[in-house]
Amino acid sequence: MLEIKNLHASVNGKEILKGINLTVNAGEVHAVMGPNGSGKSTLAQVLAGHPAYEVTAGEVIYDGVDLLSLQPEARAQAGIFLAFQYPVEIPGVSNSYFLKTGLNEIRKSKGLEELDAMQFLKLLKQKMQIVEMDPSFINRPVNEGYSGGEKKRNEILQMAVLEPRLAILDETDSGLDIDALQIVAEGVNKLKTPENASIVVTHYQRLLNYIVPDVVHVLVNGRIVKSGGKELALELEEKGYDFIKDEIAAAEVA
Amino acid sequence: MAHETAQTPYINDHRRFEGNGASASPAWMKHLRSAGIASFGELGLPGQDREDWRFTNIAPLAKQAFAVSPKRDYPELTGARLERYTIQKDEHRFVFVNGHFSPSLSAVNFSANVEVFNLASAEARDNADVQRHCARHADMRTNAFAALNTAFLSDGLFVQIPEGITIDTPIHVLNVSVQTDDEPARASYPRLIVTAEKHSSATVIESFISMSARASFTNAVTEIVLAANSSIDYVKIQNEHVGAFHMHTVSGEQHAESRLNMFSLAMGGAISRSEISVALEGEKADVNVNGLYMADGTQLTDHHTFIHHKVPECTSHELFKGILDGSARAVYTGKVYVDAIAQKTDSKQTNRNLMLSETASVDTQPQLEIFADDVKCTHGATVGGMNETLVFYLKSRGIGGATARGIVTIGFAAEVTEKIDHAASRSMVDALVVSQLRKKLGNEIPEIVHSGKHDEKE
Repeated sequence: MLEIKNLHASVNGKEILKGINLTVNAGEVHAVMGPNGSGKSTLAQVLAGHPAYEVTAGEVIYDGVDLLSLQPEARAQAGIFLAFQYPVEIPGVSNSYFLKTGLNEIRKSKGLEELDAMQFLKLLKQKMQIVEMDPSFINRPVNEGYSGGEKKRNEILQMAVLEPRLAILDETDSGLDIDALQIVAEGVNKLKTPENASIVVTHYQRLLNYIVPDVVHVLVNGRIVKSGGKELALELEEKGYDFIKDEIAAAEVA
Repeated sequence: MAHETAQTPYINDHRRFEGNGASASPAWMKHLRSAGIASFGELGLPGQDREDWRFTNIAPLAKQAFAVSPKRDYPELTGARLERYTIQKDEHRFVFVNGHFSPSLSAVNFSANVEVFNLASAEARDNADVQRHCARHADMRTNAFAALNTAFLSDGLFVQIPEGITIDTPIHVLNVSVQTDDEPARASYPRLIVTAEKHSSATVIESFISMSARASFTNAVTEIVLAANSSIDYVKIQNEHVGAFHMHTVSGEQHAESRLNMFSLAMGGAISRSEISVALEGEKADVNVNGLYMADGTQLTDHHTFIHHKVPECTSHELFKGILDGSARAVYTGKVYVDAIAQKTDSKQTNRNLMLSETASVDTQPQLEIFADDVKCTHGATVGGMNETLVFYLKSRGIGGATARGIVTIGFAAEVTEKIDHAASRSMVDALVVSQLRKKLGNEIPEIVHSGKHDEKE
């Protein structure tokens, strides 16, 4: 489904990603872990098309299409979804309008009929149950005045409504207490199908107790330095990122 | 000098005005008018050599002559046509047509003992409160437009909220500018005086609209006086025709622990300027001056604010936002002046501008002059395009193009309209913003919703 080859990206002339290679197949959950500043969030943002990042080399093939040639909205319409680490507040604009507009743009691009207000409201209420969100959020401005947990839940609600093929969760666990974490993780698990896939970007192993990855990648200094099964996350938790760094240093000396 | 030639038609018009029927006015009013025309004669129409007019070129106004509107009927102007400007169904509505009170278009029903007169009425003639406040607050010695308004003083509205009284139903002053095709270009000189006695409170809305597309000139003065512990919500909605010239002097005076929450929406007019000054005369007075201006085409919109902290422990907060498109120009000058004795002043002044085109421009000058040493004062201004983080967020949800631009703009505007406490006024301002944006960006633009923090007032 997704093939990242030798991806290099910079922000303000500073290279952050230094040759990422990663393949994600339908039905898989990939965890991307790494210390602060390793480039995890950059990878997530580049895949979604954030204009601040410049891709300097490499390619990303998504369902046979050159993903990097698509505008961010075209990527969303093609089924890419980024759950933001810091969801943006939109005063004055209701959650329901925002989501209905997004969903209908995506449906239009696929040649599907747009949902009317009634159909959409029914769908939204169903999806809100998945993330245990209070119906009062339907008409509240997007993310404005929400707690950290409410914002993250709202991201997963958007994911539930937009039904992406590839979901990228950027530090979705940061700032969540354990209850909120469980609700969010459960939401993600309920949305899992054999046709879609997700990339879970996280600093801590904690989230992976709830969203069990098929593959764990360790990102250090803009490169994936190690990949393995879910046990790799536990090892990292136990030994810290230094053990990987030591391993790399040792390998480089050898 | 160019200024003298530009002011001559007004001086001649004033002479005619005094000769025709205006002689019925009481002596105190005639005195004010003479003082007004004398001051206007000295000041002249302001040119760009004046520091506070540096960015606002009123040449298009100065090159036309606008004669004061006589009191007359316009049969086409019916209650039904004014219906859509209603803020709230049960409002106390005072309609002024070209500056003259129209009892037949107004709807007033006070249960409390509110002193309310139109200035041309017999009741106002000998009323001591009217004489004490009318034209006593707006500074006509330095402000040429306030002087010119005073020179033509004959009608207007005086409202006094009695001590301890809260008026729940809003007072809406609807200023309608109208002229037929065969009339000469008209000027009108609305005046509103609101005084709130101790521990009283009310909401006052002043709307300015025009019913004809011809160039017209509205030169208004509003004076608001708040006694100790009183509270006024004041909302100004300026939505005149894009050919209109609009000058408005708003003058506030606040005594101890009073609260004034002002909002100014500027949308219409070829050139419009609101000059808002508030004097904080009593300790712990609190003023909020907020506003939104939207301009497109070749419109010029100007807000000038002056907050004078004269005593300790007052607060003033100011947020003005602008949405500019086409070749529109905006001016914002905000001055906060803190006297040496005004310790513990808390003041914040912010101006933000969203530029939707490369040819629009803005001159923004937030200014602080502080002579006290124990104060908390901040100010700042921004001029920029779309918030890129927000645009990316929308795009990542599949929303691009005009709809994304509309959502960003709605979000930008909502941040300041939410500061209007009075629910129906806020809804009206929101609706005007949305309808303006829909004209540009299409009907996909949503209604504005606000977070629930106002619920207790609704």
